[in-house]
Formats: sequence, C-alpha cells, structure tokens
Amino acid sequence: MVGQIYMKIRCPVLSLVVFGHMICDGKSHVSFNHEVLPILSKQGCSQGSCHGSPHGKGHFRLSLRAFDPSLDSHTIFREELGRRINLIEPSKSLLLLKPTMAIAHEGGERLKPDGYAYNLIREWIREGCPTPVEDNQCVELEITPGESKLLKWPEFSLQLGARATFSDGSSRDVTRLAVFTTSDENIAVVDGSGKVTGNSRGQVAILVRYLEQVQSIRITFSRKPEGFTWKAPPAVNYIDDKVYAKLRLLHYPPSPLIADAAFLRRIHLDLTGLLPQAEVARTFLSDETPAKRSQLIESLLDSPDYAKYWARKWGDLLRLSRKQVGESAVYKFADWLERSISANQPYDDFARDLLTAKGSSLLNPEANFIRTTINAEDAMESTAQLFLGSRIQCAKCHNHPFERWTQDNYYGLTAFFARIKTKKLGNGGETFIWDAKKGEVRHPVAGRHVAPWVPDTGAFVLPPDKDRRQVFAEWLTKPSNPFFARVEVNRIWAALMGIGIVEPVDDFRDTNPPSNEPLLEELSRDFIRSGFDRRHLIRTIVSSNVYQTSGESNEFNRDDTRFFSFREPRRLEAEQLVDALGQVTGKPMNFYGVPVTVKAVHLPAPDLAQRNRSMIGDTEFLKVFGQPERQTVCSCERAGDAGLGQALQLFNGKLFHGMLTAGDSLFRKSLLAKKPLPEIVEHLHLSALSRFPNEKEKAIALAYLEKATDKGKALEDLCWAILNRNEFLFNH
Amino acid sequence: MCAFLYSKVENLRVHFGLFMIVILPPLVGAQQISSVSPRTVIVGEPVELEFTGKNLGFSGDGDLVILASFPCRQEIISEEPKPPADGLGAQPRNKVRLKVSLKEDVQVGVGWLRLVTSMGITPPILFLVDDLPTRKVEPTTRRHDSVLLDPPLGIESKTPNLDVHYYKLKARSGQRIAIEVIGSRLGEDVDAVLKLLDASGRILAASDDEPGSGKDPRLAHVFSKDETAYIEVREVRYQGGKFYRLRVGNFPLPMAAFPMVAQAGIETSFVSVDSSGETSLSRSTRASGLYGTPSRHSLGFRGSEHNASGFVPLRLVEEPQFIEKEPNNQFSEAHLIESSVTLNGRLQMPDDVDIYAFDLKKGQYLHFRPFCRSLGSPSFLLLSLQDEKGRILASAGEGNSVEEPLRHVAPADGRVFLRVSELAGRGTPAYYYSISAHIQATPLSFHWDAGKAPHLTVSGQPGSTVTLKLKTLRKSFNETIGLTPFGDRGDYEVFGSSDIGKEKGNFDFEIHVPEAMKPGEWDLLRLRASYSKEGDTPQEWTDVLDFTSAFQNVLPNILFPPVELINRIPLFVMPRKIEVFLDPISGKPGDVVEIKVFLKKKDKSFRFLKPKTSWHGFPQEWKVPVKAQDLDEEKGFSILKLNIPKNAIPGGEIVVSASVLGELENARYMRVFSNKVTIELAGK
Amino acid sequence: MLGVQVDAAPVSFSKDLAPILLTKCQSCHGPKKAKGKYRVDTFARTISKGSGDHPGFTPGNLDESEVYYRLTTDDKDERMPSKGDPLSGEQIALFKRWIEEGSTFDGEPDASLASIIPPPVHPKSPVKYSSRISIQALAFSSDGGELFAGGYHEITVWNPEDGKLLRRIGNIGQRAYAIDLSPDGRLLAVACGAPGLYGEVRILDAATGALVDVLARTPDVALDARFAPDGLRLATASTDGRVRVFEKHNQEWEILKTFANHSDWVNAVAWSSDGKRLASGSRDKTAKVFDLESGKRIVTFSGHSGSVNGVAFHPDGNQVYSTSEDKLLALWKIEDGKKSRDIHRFGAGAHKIISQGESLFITSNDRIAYEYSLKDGSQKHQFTGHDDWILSIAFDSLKKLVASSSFNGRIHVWNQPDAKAIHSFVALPGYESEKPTEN
Repeated sequence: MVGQIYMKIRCPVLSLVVFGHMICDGKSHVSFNHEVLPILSKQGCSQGSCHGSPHGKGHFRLSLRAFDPSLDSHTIFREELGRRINLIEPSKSLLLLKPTMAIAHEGGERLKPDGYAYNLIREWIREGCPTPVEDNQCVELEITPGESKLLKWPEFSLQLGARATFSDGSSRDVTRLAVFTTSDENIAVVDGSGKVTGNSRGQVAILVRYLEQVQSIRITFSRKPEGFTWKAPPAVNYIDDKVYAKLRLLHYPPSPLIADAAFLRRIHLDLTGLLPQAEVARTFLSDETPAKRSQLIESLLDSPDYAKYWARKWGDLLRLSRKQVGESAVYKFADWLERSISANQPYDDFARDLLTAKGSSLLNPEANFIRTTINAEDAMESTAQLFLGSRIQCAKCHNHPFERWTQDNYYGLTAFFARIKTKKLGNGGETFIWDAKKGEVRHPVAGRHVAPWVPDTGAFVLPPDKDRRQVFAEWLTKPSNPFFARVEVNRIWAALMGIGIVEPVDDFRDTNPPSNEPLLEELSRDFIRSGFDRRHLIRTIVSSNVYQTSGESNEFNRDDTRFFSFREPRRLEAEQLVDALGQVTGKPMNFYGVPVTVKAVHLPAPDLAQRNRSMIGDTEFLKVFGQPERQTVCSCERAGDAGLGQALQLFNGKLFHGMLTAGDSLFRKSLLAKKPLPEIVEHLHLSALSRFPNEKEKAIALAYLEKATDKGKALEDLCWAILNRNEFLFNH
Repeated sequence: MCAFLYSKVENLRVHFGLFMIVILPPLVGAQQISSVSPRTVIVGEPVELEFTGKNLGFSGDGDLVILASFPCRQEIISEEPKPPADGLGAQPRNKVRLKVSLKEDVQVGVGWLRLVTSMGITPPILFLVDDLPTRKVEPTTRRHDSVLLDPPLGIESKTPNLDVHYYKLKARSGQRIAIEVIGSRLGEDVDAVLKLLDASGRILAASDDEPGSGKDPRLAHVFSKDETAYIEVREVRYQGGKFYRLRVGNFPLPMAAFPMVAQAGIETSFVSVDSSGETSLSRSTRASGLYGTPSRHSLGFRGSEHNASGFVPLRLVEEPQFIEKEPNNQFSEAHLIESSVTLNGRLQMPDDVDIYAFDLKKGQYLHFRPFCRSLGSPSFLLLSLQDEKGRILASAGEGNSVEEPLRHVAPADGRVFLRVSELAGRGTPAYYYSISAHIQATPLSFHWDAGKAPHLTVSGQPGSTVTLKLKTLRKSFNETIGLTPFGDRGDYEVFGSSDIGKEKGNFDFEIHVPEAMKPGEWDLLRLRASYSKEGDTPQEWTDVLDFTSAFQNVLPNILFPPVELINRIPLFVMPRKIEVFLDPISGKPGDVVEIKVFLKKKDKSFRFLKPKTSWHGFPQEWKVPVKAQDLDEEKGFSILKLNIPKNAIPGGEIVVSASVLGELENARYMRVFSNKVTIELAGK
Repeated sequence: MLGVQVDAAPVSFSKDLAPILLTKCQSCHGPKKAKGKYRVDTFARTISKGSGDHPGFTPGNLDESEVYYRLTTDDKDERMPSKGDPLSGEQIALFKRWIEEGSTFDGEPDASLASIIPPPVHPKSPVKYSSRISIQALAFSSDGGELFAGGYHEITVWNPEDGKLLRRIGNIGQRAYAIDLSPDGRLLAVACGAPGLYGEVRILDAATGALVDVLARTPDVALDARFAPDGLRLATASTDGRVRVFEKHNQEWEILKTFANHSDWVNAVAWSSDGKRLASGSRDKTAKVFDLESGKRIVTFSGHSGSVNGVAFHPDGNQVYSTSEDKLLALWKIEDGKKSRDIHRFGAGAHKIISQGESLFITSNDRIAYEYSLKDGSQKHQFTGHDDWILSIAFDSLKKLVASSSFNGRIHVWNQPDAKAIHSFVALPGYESEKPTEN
C-alpha cells in the first residue's frame, strides 16, 4: 500500500494540511482500517456513549473504538441499502452531513467541513468505500519525543508526534489519527493534534492510542517558587536519596523529622495496629539509648501483634469472610495467614501457595482463595488485581479503554485458570480443589480457543496436560516479572506512608504512572534481592527519613499530595479506633465468636456474628468507620472518607458512651484506688496520645477536676475531650 | 490374645445359665452410655473408668462385661443407684465405676467398646488405648498462670467457651517434644487447633488438620535452646464443651502404616510413614480379625528413643497383599493381577501413575475399593479402567464421595488396565494408597440399615422374630439366592421366605429367635448366602455386611467412620412379654374392693413383687397404698385389694392402672397392666 | 443546499423558513423527540410555547420570540442549533424580518413542514455515472417494451431486449425506492427521496415523464407506492411510519386516509385484489392489515424476528405472504394473526414481493430471485446469475420477461417460463468501468 505523503506546516495558529495522493497503481489510497476507522474513533463517533454502545444510536451501531472493522464496513457501506453513503456526490453522504450538522445531529458537530478528518472520509467515499481484507496489522506505536520529558517554566508546552509501524514493515505518521488523553487535567491538557500545555507543577502521563496500540509519555513540569531554598536531612538509605531527588526537582522541600513521641505512636499503629500502652510510652520517652528507634522497630516486627495485624490486611484482600469461605474455614484461613506472616514466609512462596493450592480445603486452608472465585474469569480477575495490580475487568467485552489489555489478552490470561475443578466432600464444608487435564477458554467473539498468554513473553505453547496454574505461578514469581514485586512493594509502601507510589494500589496502568518511578524500581530490586523478604522491606522503609518525616506541611510543600515531602496524616482505621478507645478507657469491645482477648485488629473476619437484628448496634461502629465487607479483592472496599455518622458515633454513640460511663473504666478504678489526679491525667495522655501532657494541658485538666464535685463525671468529660482531638483520631 | 476373650464369651454363656438375672423389657428403653471418663485405658496400668448412662443392667446383679476390640478384664468398683439390701426390686444402673486392666501386647490406638449387661448390649463407643499415663491437670485460659506439665503424659479436658487452654512446658535445648490432640478420632464433635508458643507468645509450631489425623492437630518440635514454652489448645471456632485428650511426650507422629491394609492372621511387617515418606520405624505383627474380617485395628509405632507410641489405623482383610513394583507407569510395564488382592503402592512424584493389568472373562465383575484418607494417607485417588486401546471403560474419583469405589462388568474377554493416579496430580514419597481389588467378587453384598436398631443390636423375646432391614447391592447377578443367618450357636431359622430375588432391593429379613434361648443370652449373627442352579456349580459365601452407614448415625462427627467396627450383628434375647387383665368392679366411697387379676396366657405363673398402682379418680389423682397377693395357681387369678377414698364423689368412676414388678420362671420382670379398669361409685 | 432569496418580498414561512426548521431543528424538536417540549413539525406548533418562558414566535415582538432569542444568544449552552455552529447571518435575518412582518402564514397550520415546503426542483443527474450505485426500483411498461429503473435523481428507461438506454426522466428524488405502473399503464408512481433529508412520491406521465403530482412529502425517504387494482387510488409507505392513501379526483390526487400504526419505517404496502384492504410491512418487525372502509387496523402479525420488507395478499383474501430480513417467507392468517407456515428460508434477508398474475416474485441478498405460485406457495423458478444483493424485480406478463436489479447497479433479464438468462447490463448511463473485463 503506498503511504500517504503529506506535509505538515508547523505553525501554532493554523495547521494547514495539504495532502496529495500518489495515484499510481489504481489501488485504493485511503485505508479503511488504518485511517477511516481511527478517525471515527478519534472524533468520538464510536465511543461507548454514542454509536459504540451495544445498541448504537439512531439505528447506527459501530464497534467500540473500531475494534471490529468487518462489522463497521458492512454497517457504513451496506446497511439499510447503503443509505449512509452517496457514491455520486460523496459530500452529500449521510455519513458526512450528520457529523457536520448539515442535518441536525444529536451527537453535535464532530467534523469540520474541509477539515482533515472530513476530507479523509470524503476521499474514501470518492474511491468507492474500498474495504480490502487487511492482514497488515499495526504492530508498534512510537511517540516523539520519547518516554519522558522534563519541562522547566516558562516553556510548559510540547508538541507530541505519533508514528505507527505495520507488520508489512511500512510506517507512517499517525499524529492526526491518534487519540490523546491526559491523566490529570489540572497539571496539563492535550488537544486533538497532540499539543500539550502545562498548567501547574507536577507530573502527568499523556496516553496516545492508535487502533489497538497504546503508549504513554510522562511529562514533569517543574517551576521554582520564589524564596525557595533546598534543605533536607542527610539520607539514611536509598529511599531518602530517590525521594529527595524528585522533591528537589519539583522544588518541594521535605518537612522536618518527627520527635520520639510521634514516632512511637506512628510505628506502633503502622506495625501492630495498636496504640502503645502508657507504660511502654513512659519507658520509651525516658530511654536515652541512641538506637532506641531501631530496637523498637525490631521488637515490634518480632511481636505476635505484627503478625496478626498484617495477616488481617491480607484477609481484607482475599475475601476472608464467613459468607465467602464458610463457618470453620474462616478461622482456618485466618490462622494460616497469621502463621505465614509470623514465619515471615517469602512473598513469592506465599503467592505460589495461594495460586497453586490443590487438595482439601481443610488440610490446606490456602486453597480457600481459589474456592472464593466462582469461575475461571473471576479467578483471573482477582489474581490480576492482587498480583498484577491491574483492574482488567473492562477488557472482558472489548479492548481496555486506558491500558494495553485487549480482549484477547483477557481470555489469554483466563486460560491459565480454565481447568480448576472443585467438588464438595461429605460433611464439614470440606471442598476438594484440583485441575482437570483438559479444558479451554473460548473467545466470545472469535469463538476460537485462546492459548494461555502473559504480557511480556506472549502466548505459551504447553503440552496438553501441563498444570497451567503452576506455569502461571512460575512466570509470576520469577524475579524478572515486570509486575509482581512492584505491586507488593507499592502495597506495603501505601500501608506505611498512607498513599502509594502508584495510587490506587491495585491500578497500575499507563495513564496512572508511579509518582516516583526510580523509587519504585529501587524498592522492587531491593525486595527481590532480599528474597522477597517483607520484614526486610518494612524495616528499610520505616527506618528512612522519608517515613520519619513530620505530618505538618510547610509553606513550600503544602500542595504536594504525591511526592512524600511530608507524611499525610490519616484517620485511624475502624478496627484501630475501636481498640484504641477500648485501651484508653480500659473497656475493650469484645466480639462474637472469638475470646475477649482478641482485638478488633486481630478479628479473623467482619461477619462472624450471624445476621441478627439484636447485634446490629454493636457492629455498626466498625461499619460506619469503614470496615470492609470483604466481598471483593479490591483495596477500595475499605472506605477512608469521613462522614456525619462517624461524628455522631464519637459524640455520644452507643459504644463510645458505654465505654466512657462504665463503672469499672480505667480512670474510675484509679479514682477508687485513690490515685492522685495529676497521675491519672498523665496516664490518660500517655495512653491516648503517647506523650506526657504539657503544662497548659495539665493546668486546664486539674483546674477542671478541682472544681468538679463528681470527680468521676469530670474525668469522663476530660477523657471524652481527649478522645475527640485530632491528635488521637489521626495516625500522624 | 483374642482367644482369651473368646473363652470369656463362652463361659459367659454358661455363666448366664447359672443365675437368672432380671431383664427389663425393651419398653423401658435401650441401654445407653452417655459418657465415660477418662476415655483412655492405659497399657500396663489398671484404670478406673466411670460410665454414666441409662439401663446399664441392674445394680447389684454383678453382671456386667466389657465387649471391646482390645481384650481387657473389668471389675465393678461402685455402682449407682445402690444395690438393694434384700436383693429384691433392684433398680437399673445409671452409673458404674469399673477397674479395667489390659493384657500386655495390646495395640495402642483407637478401639471400640460396648457394655453387655442383663438389660442388653450398649451401642459402641470409641476408646483410646494409650501407653501414656493420664494425669489430672487443671488447664487455664491465661498463659501467665498455666500449669507446668511434666511430660510424657495425657490430659483429658473440655475446650473452654470463647477461650483457649494453656499448658506450660520447660524445654531443654535439643529436646524433641511431640504433642497430639485425640478428639475427632474418638467420634467427638471437636475440630481442635494446636499451637506451641515461645515465652513471648510467638508461634514456634502450629497445626490444625493433618492427613494422618483428620481434624485432630499434631505437631513435633525440637527446641533450639533452653526455654519456657506454652501449649495452646482451642476449638477452631472457640466453641466450648468439646472433649479433647492432649498427649504430650516424645512419640512418633506416623501418618500411615505401609502397607495400610494387611491380611488377617498373616505375620506382616509394616513401615511407618510420615509426611516426608518412609521413616526408620518398623514392626511386624499377626493381627487377627477378632470379629471376622474385614475389620479395623490400630497399629502403634515406637522407637527406642521414644517414651510413647504413635498409632495409625490398620485394615484387616481376607485377601492377600500385593506391593507395587516400579516401574509400572505404562501399559507394557503393568503387573498382571490374577485373583482378588489388595494393591498397595504409592505415587512418589507429581503426576506419577501406577498401572495394573487384569485378564477378564466376559461377564466377570470387577470391584475396586480405594483406601487413603480413612487410613491416614493424604492422597485422593483417581481410578480409571481402560481397555488395551486406552479407551476409558469406567472411572471413579471425581464424584463427591471421598473414596469412591469403581465397579465394572467385563463386556468381553480380554485384558483391562487399572490406571491409579492422584486426582490433583500431587505425589510425594508419603502418598500411599491401598486398593482392595475383587475379581468376580461376591455377586452381591448387603447393607444393614441400622436405622431401626439405633444402638446397633437387635433384640427379641424367645420365640419372637427380629427384623434386619437389608439393602442388596447386586453386581450383575440376577439369580435368586438363599440367605441363612448363623451365629456361634449355629444356624437360625428365617421367618417367611429366605429367597432373595433380583427384584428385592430393600427388604426386611425376619430372623426367628429360638424358644430355647433364655432372656439375657446373646449371639453375634452373620449371613451366609447360597446359590445353586442346575448346570452352574453351587456357590456359598459368607457375605460382607457393610456397616458404614449404620455406624455413621452412631458416630456422626467422625470425618471417616471406622470402616467396619464389628462385622456381626449382636442379637440379644429379651424376656417374654407378660400381659395381665383386671376385672371391672363397683363400690361405694370408703369400701375396700378386691380386683381379680388374670394372667392372659394361662401357661405362665408370676408373683407380685412390688405392686404400684395409680388411680385416676375423679376429679383428681390419688396415690393409695394397695396390697396384692400372688397368683393363686388353681384359681388362676390373684387379688388386688384397695380401699376407695371416702371423699370420692358417688356416681363418678375411678380408673385403676397398676405396674407390677414380678418374677417369671425365676427371671425377674416388670410389666405394666395393659388395660385400665373403672370402679363404678354407687351412692352412700 | 437550499437557495435563499434576499429580495424585498415578504418572508414566506413555507418557502424560506420551513426548509431551515426541517433540516436544522426537527430531528430534535419533532414528533419522535421534542426537546424542551417544543416542536417545529407544523406551523401551529412552531409558533406555540415549549417549556421556555415565551412562545416560539410572537408576531411583531422579537424579545418574546423564544426561537429568535435562542438563535441570536451568544451563551453557548442556550444557543440553537445546540452543539453546532449558529445559523448563517442571512438565515437569522429572515427569521427577524418574518417576526417583524407579523409571522404570517397562508397554509394549513397543522400540515407537516415537509408537506408545506413547495416541492423542490431536483438537480440534474450526472451525464456519466462515476460510480456503480445501487438500483432499488424496477417496472415494466404495460407493453413490456420499456423497463423503468431507478437512477440518481432520475428514472432510466431501458430496452429490456438489448439493454439499450431509451430515455432518462429527470426531476426525481435523489434515490428511487419503488416504481409502480398504474393498471392502465399511463401513470408511474415513484417513491423516492434523499436519506435524512426528504422523501416524496411523484406521479409521472409514463409516456412523457411529465410531473403530474408530488405526494406524501416526509422528512426522510418514501419506500413504496402501489396503485390500487382500479387505478383510482394510490397507497404509499414512508420512513415516518405512516401509510397514506390518495384518491384521484380529475387530475388531482387528494389524501384519503393516513394510518400511523407502525412505530418505525414502513417498507412496503400491497392492495387486496378487491381494493378494500391494505397490507403493510415495517422495520418494527410487524406486518399489519388495514380496512379502508372502517379505517381500522384489522390485525398485526409479529411472527418475524427482523424488519418486514415485503407483503402480498393471498388470492383467498384471508391470508398474507410476508418476507423479512430474518430470511423467511411466511404465510399468516388475517383473522388471528397466527402464522400458517414458513414457506421458504432464503440464504439471506429478503426484499419486496411483486405479486403479478399467478405468481409472487421475491428477491434476496443471497443473489437469487424467486418465483412462487400465488395459490399454494410452491416454488416455480429460481433466477440465478447476479453477483451482488438483488434489490428489486419486475415481471412483464405479455412477453413473459423477468428483470431484476442489484446493489452494484446491474440488471439481469430472464425468460420467465424457463428461467433462462437473456442478458445482463450495468444500468447506469455512461458508466465506464475502469476494469476492461466488466461489460
């Protein structure tokens, strides 16, 4: 096919396109597959809300983003007896009259008369709407200028170009045919011709899509505010180097490091989910040894509470609930997770156990992960979201709108899970999971069997009865895997820092780039080198300055939300809050189906209690503060946003009120034990805020207590006041 | 060793003859053991067991025997209610303490036990024979105040509600400790979880469900330094009141024995297998099918360095054993099996396949029964029978039952191959299996639906009939067969036709209790099937009665019910039913009336022992002492004197029903008047 | 595009404004969709009030004419036509002047815009056709000497024997969808139009081609037109879902009856032999039968799973044949609308049914034309040879000739009795194919 030559006169005002045609061998010049369809997709005709929807609009249906050329050519040229095309006077074709609003068009004006797109389509009609069988596929899309770019103020604009290469070796400029989208409008916008204009500092990814090819380019906009001087403490490890490099580039100075009290409270909440006991706080604060912080980190990482808390985090992701896995399996699977983390099982072993679990769900509880998936697609989607950090569900019916996942890829990955078989055994809800020797996945549109496929090495040719789950697990857990380490490293980073390097943590895609790629890359390499040792990774992160940076922003880094110049404070998780309230008031909440010693952050599952009306009140506190139902593998299930219900619960909710006014609460007991008031006040602050009360606080508290006739009631008010302060409610 | 008990049974019968014991008619309710503690008998150390239950014979009659899979001697220490001084009017026992001592070479492990009393035979209850002493230790629910254990020992307790039990250990560096919970293996409804924690509460070792022990956890740990450790025991859902026996010591934790199935009466050497494969422990024994085969026993392993044994289940069958010889992964390498045999082998590595060949004649019937999980091996077998061209004739293993049998009738003469593989393709040196392969097995087998006899015995009066609800499983054999029940006394007659045709799927099999048998006597019944048709050689075989479903409703909580505890049906002879009749009478309030009591069946005599009457006077019920006389042989009736209360209202009626404790043919009995008599109340 | 006069003559609603309202506004403010509850499909509705605060047009008062405000405001969300460029200056000026002149109108206030816009004079057809367009209408002259075929803004007339072009009749809608000859052979009815723009049925003098009348003018194409057996009435089928019946009073054709029962395009109509009943087939997958005296719809047949493209009455008068996109030729009963039987399943979707003499002639996208016995539905002939979809067919009972036309502009002629092909030609005047092989 003869490429189309056209000259582009580059001038910002008017991009005049002149194109001529090489008329030589009489073959058609405008390619239906490579030009007409992309233009229809670019101009928005075939998008999901218009003619690309399953029923089309006004009896005119195109395949979504033109992924089915044969259907579209029939619809445009032949359907309704060829009413949309006028071969004699192409410009009078309905296909052109409507988009140019010559005739009223609900979809609005999509083509400018004599614009590039308009001329292209008219030219195609003039040539008799040729739709030759096109086996020449577009195999690569290349963006100029390259992978990433740094723009310094004031040059905040950049003209992108796109060039496509085809399987027959030919290549051509497709800038006018490609679709450009920006990942963050307030940082930079891009117009139809690929011109990027930056609005403010930060980092953005511009996605360029042409037919099935998707590429993205990362552009960083840096602008130096006046009076900015770079100042940062000496780096402790590579984490500080990588973060400070990015911050310096973007002119966000890091906030200062936190004091001992803040560190003590933060590290306890992050590693065990529990507040430090008052005595622990007292001894730590008065401890002089220089290495006391690293010793504290070590002892917390070794404690049973660490294992129980981080096992619960995985419980959230693995749908560990009574409803999903059944009565006794819920305890067995929770125990298995706790044992795995307590023994610091390497993460690749952990993933392999879950993905290739076989046999009875009683003997090996990890088989319950596969058991909660209802079919092959669900198993693949859950695995993709957990271990590949990708929400691939969209590619089930058509190509993924923002990512490289096509429909073939979706069914290629599902092929690994097509042979899972389960059967119920006798009593006790035991299920046996095994893999049949044959069983294939059929592509819904093409109808053919789809071979197992993975992103980087493509399709597998496997002996017919090879265990496919084994093959997938080996591919997933080998060090060179492009997803495995990065997803877990990002998940642990988000758990400790409050926000991921990729946010949300299970949505790795081109249009959602890491805020600090070198940091993510180095963390992954370190994680793999350590043999996927999660405790090593946590130790490295919490020992870094970046982690031990204060929660307050300063004048220059106030609007940094993604680059970790300060550690954004976040409200305590639902379970952390319940335990904290219980610990300070001495009246911990106890839960159905577990001993009283079990804390909220150690609960095997949120729904141990049967659904009964009487219990609704008790579990409501946890639900209102965002405890997940654990019905999906999505990290988004744990809601973090604030709400009126929460304020009411903390104001005089049933649970909190009960704890405060209990006759045998901690402070009432110490009152009965005739403990001096200053000591009680000090204990309250140490327990709730992990620090000694300052003079002002002591004065106010003691004054209030002196004046009060009913000391118990007064202490209740004092306790209520402290427990409603942000310094208590937040992990800062 | 089993001969010892046999003779006991023999003289027990003679024993029966000597003195008559009092039998309660079934109307009063079956014999039931509700609890036994402890649930363990110790090798070499007499143990006091306390049985509580219902109708455990009459207290004071000195007649109580333990019928168990492990030979033992018992001696009554105390019983409640107290035996009557005058020997009359003995009450049924509801508690009895026995001192039980075992013979030396008894097998450690799970066995079963029943009590045989004058009132009947109790259903089986699972029991542990242990070579670890049982010690009384108070468990606590907090680590800091837990009791220090001094292993090796066994502790029996019940799980706390919504809490865990802790026991304290002082361990030396290098010391190996083995801990095991016995619970679900004794048929108890418990799914325990075991953890070994260090001083700071970190998990050193943990276990929940294991292949060798089903729902019971077991773990072993070698301490790397001198330290204090804690044992944490809980029910998986923190439910309380669930029985568990904790064994703490240094004993092996065998997962299975190999071979897992042995031929009864043949000296067989076994090797202990654990989760990594064969271990150094081995032993040999000649286990006999105590109550016929196939039946189920325990096999203990104990090395010189151990201070107690670990045990595994062992199945005894009549057919010989065959141990697989590798390589047997292709049809060409398959070993030809000529006769019924048990195939023992293992799937050493993933996707390992073992193939056996059979030469069959047209119409011959093949029946394979796999045993893995129920004997401790983790494998789930997939059996597929293929012809020479590899076409699958039949397959088993993908269904919902755990050990699915494979049945096949050869359509034509020729060689077929049995392909044994693991359903999930797993395979390690520990993946053992035993498959009992029957060629031309008995053409049919019987299931005994013990639903009607919930305590797994049948009982009837001399001369009456007992019903066995049987279900036949035909294996392509349509001829009619004759069925003859027999026991140690010889053959029993059958009421109605004993010919079982093809059409009879489920049927009631009426067995006639001979007149000659005395109440209190018992026998162990088996069934002999015979078939003869001219032209065919007559066949006769003693059938395999499948009790699995019968035992499942007695032991519902056990994941894998012991395949055949006892391959016979205990028949117990109850006393004859006595019926009497009262004459109608009339009288005025304040009168003394005499009610004639006739014996329905003339040919028996009885005398009143302790009459007890209850009136239903109008308007309310009165309890009035009454005197009764013995039956006067000539007159043929006895007199029941009672005076009508003065405040009875004339014109009303008083209803009398009396229950009398009497003796018949020097066998004590208690019967209830079957009818009521109304006393017309005339005016003053 | 439609011409716009700029002289001092007063602004005519029907000539100057109706065409603009029809093309630019009616698709969002019409019978099917009335955004802002405002419709422009008749004069009465155009000047009435929608959900806005003023009526569409208030004579002599610009400020209270909502449409004028909407045309001239620079607030992008309010401006009409929405999501598109504003009207040209001259067009707005026309509206302004019309309001100032008292927004007069001399036509039928409730008549549809399409019917009040004076029929356009169609542009000339191309001397030589540059591409092979589809031919969707055919009819034989009564003596069989001439074969009328649809062209581009014209009807081409061919000699069926040798395929020579005899004459060309201009001033016809862009595409012709059906041609019907009146029983006396003197008049031609042509259902034509331009997709999305306009539709009409033109009555021509068969001999001279002179325009007699223009009927059934609709915002989109007209799909069928059939003379009644007595020739005095004409039934039309249009994309506005209406079946219209016109009656001839001396040379004028008056609208007699309009049936608006279908919810989508009406593809075909057919008269019962006694002229008392009409059958119609529609894209809403149903076929209906109407009774002219009572003006009622007698029955609806919904047995097809695709658009119904052709209908014909069975001689017994109480059954109807129908063809559809679902590849079926069905026969169903009028009294209960139940299907008697499926007569044939074509290889692909089927088009109109021509019922003539003892036979039914049906064409299909499976490139075969069929002839069935009208009485018992048995298949008599298959006419093969086409290399693309066959869109229409005609039968000359005198010379026993069958002619059919295809999607790629070819006409094939067969001898009906033995279905022997006589010859075939590209019926597009002056079309030279680039490829020499094409004849």
